[in-house]
Amino acid sequence: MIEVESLTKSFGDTVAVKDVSFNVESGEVLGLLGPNGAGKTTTIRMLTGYLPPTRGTARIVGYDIFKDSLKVRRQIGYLPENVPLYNNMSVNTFLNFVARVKDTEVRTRNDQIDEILLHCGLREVQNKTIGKLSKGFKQRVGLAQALIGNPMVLILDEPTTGLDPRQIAQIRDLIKQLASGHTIILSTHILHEVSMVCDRVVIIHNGEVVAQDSVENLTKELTKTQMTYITIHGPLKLVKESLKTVEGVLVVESHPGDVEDVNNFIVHAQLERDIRELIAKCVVNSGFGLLELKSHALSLEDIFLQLTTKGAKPMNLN
Amino acid sequence: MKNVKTIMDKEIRAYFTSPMAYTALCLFLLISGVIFNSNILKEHSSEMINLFILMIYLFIMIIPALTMHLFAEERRSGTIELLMTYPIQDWEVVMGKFLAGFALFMGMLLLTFHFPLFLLMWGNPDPGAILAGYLGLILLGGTFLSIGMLATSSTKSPNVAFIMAAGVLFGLTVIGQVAINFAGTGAIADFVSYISITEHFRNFTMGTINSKDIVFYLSVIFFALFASIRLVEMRRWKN
Ligand SMILES: Nc1ncnc2c1ncn2[C@@H]1O[C@H](COP(=O)(O)OP(=O)(O)OP(=O)(O)O)[C@@H](O)[C@H]1O
Ligand SMILES: [Mg+2]
Repeated sequence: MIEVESLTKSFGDTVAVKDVSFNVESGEVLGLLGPNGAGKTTTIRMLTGYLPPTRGTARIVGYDIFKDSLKVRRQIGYLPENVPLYNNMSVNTFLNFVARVKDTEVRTRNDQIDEILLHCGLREVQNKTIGKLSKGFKQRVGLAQALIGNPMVLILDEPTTGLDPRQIAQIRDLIKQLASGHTIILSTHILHEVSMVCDRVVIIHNGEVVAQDSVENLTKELTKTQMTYITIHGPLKLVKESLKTVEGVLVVESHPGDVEDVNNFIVHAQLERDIRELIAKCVVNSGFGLLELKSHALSLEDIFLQLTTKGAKPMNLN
Repeated sequence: MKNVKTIMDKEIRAYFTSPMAYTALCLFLLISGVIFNSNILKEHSSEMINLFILMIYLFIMIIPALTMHLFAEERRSGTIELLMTYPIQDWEVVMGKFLAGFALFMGMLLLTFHFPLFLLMWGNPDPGAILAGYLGLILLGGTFLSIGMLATSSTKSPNVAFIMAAGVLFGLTVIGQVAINFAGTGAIADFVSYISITEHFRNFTMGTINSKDIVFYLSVIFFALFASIRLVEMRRWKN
């Protein structure tokens, strides 16, 4: 449905997006995940025909985003970042304008708008001026205009940013409902969101794809290991050796502390058993002083942080 | 064409929900009314030429006020991103916006029709000169609007668009005066008077319709709109 091939965009000397490639299957919800400045918006703007790529290309429903821009735009419903809207128009007027621009069938136009108003929960504000609506309602108006014309592909740039938790939940529900009839790309920097609404995730950082996988696989990857943070009084090398002998331990990372012979360790272990007791026993038996011990289940956040922090390779822990 | 009409409708609606258009319209009618009173009724003149000239000077301020928002505001507020990603071509957007400005301008002219009506009822005017004068005003207004379009297409600040347009229009208008002052000094004066927007208007007020003048206005409109479309496209295809 969507094929992105080495999409690259430079602004002068800065390369905002570099050789980004990924595919989205029909009916899939793809999460474009990355920290601020990763290049999510720039990637999306190229896909929607707002910015021309410096290099590379993409096809949406078979049409080239550059050569067949108009055809591509007919297939896309787009919610830009920060939801720009015509603040002087009423919701109804705006959606009517969008329907005319998207050249929807005149006969069924009003019915379609009614349906979208209902679907997006905009019925009671349809005659209000957009500029006077709350952020949550504006977001829905943004979604509604994307839905007009029933496009096959929806591209949503940070659709929940700036909303309160209740509104976030509502918008996510709405996106989940839309997932059944559309192919969706949504960008976010919230991992939780990806695991909630996406089938697959492309993680980008500094303009490059650092990982792409199904949410299922990523989650599996995480649940394989657990981390335990330990602070121990004892010679670093000896402590490390004895920690390695504990059953179930996979990797021991050591970080020298500020005080002599007080060292920090991160122990990666299989998830199946709680190794805290074993570690405590081992430390005491070896005659070291156990100062602190806390377990930490590896979360999406950790994977994300490690992927987007230079040098770390958490994916080959197993 | 359908899309041009859609954009045009949107902009006309926007005019009527913004105080800017009302203010410009009221100011225009008020000032031209006052001048009509003092200049024509009091002096028992049946000619509208002075009023026409005054209107041109009013247009230098009013028309940039009508065009300043058309593109710059879309850029400033970010709605340009919606507009540029809807399935609609850049030239359709530019033409729609231009025609909306033109429609408002025509409405404005229409509201001055009681001036010639007064003259016809109480005075002894030359109807041909008045009609030709209005044709001239329409062409000149279109030209001003197209230059306003060019200004608003090139910036994301409505204020900058206003200042640019008003500055250029003022320059092109007073350049006519310069030409008159230096009349007869050869090629340069001829050239300056040729590019002067007001010099071309002079013939209309005397009741003569020259194809040369019409061609001049239409070409300026064509080139300014063409350049506006290219400016909008450039933002899409280069960067
Ligand atoms: N028009 C532009 N001109 C110059 N640099 C730009 C432009 N747009 C984006 N950039 C740069 O490109 C990089 C990627 O920006 P982009 O907006 O795509 O990131 P993002 O992932 O959407 O971030 P955020 O989460 O903050 O929205 C940033 O370093 C940004 O400064
Ligand atoms: Mg962004």
